[in-house]
Amino acid sequence: MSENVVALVGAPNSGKTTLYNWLTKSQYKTVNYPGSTVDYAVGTLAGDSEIQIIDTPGTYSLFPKSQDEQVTHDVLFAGTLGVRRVILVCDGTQIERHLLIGYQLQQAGISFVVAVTMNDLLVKNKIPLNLNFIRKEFDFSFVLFDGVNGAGLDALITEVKKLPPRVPGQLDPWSAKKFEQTSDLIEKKINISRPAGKQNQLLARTQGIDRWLLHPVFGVAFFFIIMSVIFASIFWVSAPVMDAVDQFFAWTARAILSVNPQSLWVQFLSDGLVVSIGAVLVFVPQIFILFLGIGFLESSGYLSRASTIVDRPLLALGLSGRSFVPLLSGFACAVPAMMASRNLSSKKERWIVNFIIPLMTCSARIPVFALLIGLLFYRQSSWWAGLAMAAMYFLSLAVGMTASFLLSKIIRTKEKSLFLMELPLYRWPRWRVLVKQSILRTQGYIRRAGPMIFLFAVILWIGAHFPIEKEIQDPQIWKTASLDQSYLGQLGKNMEPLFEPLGTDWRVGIGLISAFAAREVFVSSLALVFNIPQDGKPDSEKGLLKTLSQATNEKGQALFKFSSVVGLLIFFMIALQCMSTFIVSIKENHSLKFALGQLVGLNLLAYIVSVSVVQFLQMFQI
Amino acid sequence: MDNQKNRDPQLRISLVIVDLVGPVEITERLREFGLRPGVPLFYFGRTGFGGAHLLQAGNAWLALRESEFQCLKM
Ligand SMILES: Nc1nc2c(ncn2[C@@H]2O[C@H](COP(=O)(O)OP(=O)(O)OP(=O)(O)O)[C@@H](O)[C@H]2O)c(=O)[nH]1
Repeated sequence: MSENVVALVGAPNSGKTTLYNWLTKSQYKTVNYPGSTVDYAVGTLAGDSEIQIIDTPGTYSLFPKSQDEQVTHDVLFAGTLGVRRVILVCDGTQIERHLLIGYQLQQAGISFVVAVTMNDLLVKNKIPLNLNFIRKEFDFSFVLFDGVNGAGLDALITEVKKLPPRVPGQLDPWSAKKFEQTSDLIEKKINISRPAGKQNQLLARTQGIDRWLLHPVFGVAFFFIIMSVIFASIFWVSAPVMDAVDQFFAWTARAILSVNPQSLWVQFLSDGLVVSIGAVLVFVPQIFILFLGIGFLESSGYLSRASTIVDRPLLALGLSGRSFVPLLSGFACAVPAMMASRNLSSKKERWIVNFIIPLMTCSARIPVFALLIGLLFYRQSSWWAGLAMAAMYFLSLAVGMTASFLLSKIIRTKEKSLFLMELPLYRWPRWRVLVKQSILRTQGYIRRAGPMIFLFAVILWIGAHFPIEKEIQDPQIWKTASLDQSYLGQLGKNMEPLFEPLGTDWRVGIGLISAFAAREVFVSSLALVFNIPQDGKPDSEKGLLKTLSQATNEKGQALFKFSSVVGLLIFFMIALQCMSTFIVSIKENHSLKFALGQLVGLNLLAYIVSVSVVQFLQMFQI
Repeated sequence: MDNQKNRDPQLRISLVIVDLVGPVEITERLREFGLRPGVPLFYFGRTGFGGAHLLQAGNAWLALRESEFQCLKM
């Protein structure tokens, strides 16, 4: 890497990623939660490809206390990235604390300029900020920057280019006394120009809201209401859009088939690709709603409050309130969630959090849960399905917490976890940005799952229709094998003893096995296997839910009984079927043994628990 | 600070930090948050389940768990 590298360093939530996006014209996600960036990002300065910019995780000082803070420390001092200049990003509303890193940078001989962000908030609230006294005392140079409209960007770039490139030196050892003296001095110099109490007006509105949202009784109630509404609206809000998408794919499948119903290629396109891909895409509106909900929590500032509320109960389970954010991210996807756990100061806590993250209901499970819950409440109001969906989220949390409790008893260390949470100002989310980010994340989801769904649609369709032979009466026409006689049927039947205790048959078993490629493939494979005409009429006309609700086993009994659907829900809730998660788990925990134990342990547990529940329910003929 | 008072949404008690005592990793972080001897702060009570203590020091709006709060001598 060149030596023309500029690092953005500063306290969590000070606006580094926002500034990085302006400097590099990128679209990284910004979050109103201290500690959302856990790895560094590298980009080039827009308009000058010679200069590279690095966005680092937020840190309160250059003496690291968690893995993400260590990343920032190493970016500066390990020397491998060639950082020669630094932009110290300070939130103008918190400048007296955020400037303390400036003092440490100066000590280490680092060449830097201070970018004072949130300038718009200071202007709007008529809070004066006179930096002249600090400038004189410490010889820092400052540029005011407005992260909303980019004002001050050019001045900042000019100032950065003027900085002499310098190799970072050494930090003096930590001294509480020195630190206190510097803090006092900075605060005194900043406060000279500011009338007493003026700054605190900014906080007053946030504190007014927190008096209720963090209230010992109402705060807990609000927490449960907010979380329930977000998870239940995954069903409630998206229902009408899903119907429209469902009908669109059914119509497309029919239209394609009508072109030439005898052609194998046409059958493959219609009943293979369109039906199985459509079966998963139907759930995209739900995934979008989930991302929108999490995005709302992230940008409003509520995440820190939620972490604060759950800190005490989580402490009893061996975690801390800071684990809440990685766990909540796990509801979207386990991969970034495991990375978010770098924000935790205790190693033991990170291990536990990373172990239980795959238990959180990630977006890949939404299509599976939505289908199975749809079967449980077939022809009933979507209110029930919505509540059941919210219940699945809370249940997965409960299972995760139980696992955490047990692990915390097994793993013993003397290490102390830190909580100490800074509560950011509440901000009304900018809806346009929020919707755009949710669309981007949804597109990312489709791109990730899409290739697997496509691949398995091809494999399963061929498996379910081959071997083929020519019609005796008309050798022009190829006759496909019946499902029973197909390769897939034969394979499935051999494995049936494994699935029988779950109250299902080999057709569902095929779905369960293929779900190890990607969970959503369970839905597309059911759509494909159960769509094969049994009565001469393609079942895509009926819709997947109706087809499944009428499906029977060999004895002519309903296949998707209450017990077997509940068993499947439990299996999917616990099983770790995602290879990306497995790989990230090896990397984040620096241990193949850990990741293998997690993979085998969770899948075994999923099978044992779901079989036990199914067998128990079947005793009551449910 | 008794529990009954903590349920009052208008609670706001003015205090001054006299000293920081406890494990160094906690006291170091408290200092980095602006909590050091001589600093005045406002105490706003606790969250649910006997959880975090809410306080304001300067412009910082903070939540501290019991063991961290205990390091502040006031
Ligand atoms: N009003 C206003 N908001 C800003 C400004 N800069 C950033 N924000 C908001 O402040 C929050 C935090 O911004 P980020 O850019 O994610 O901060 P960060 O320093 O990268 O945060 P970490 O990754 O946690 O260290 C986001 O909600 C931003 O939209 C600004 O200049 N003015």
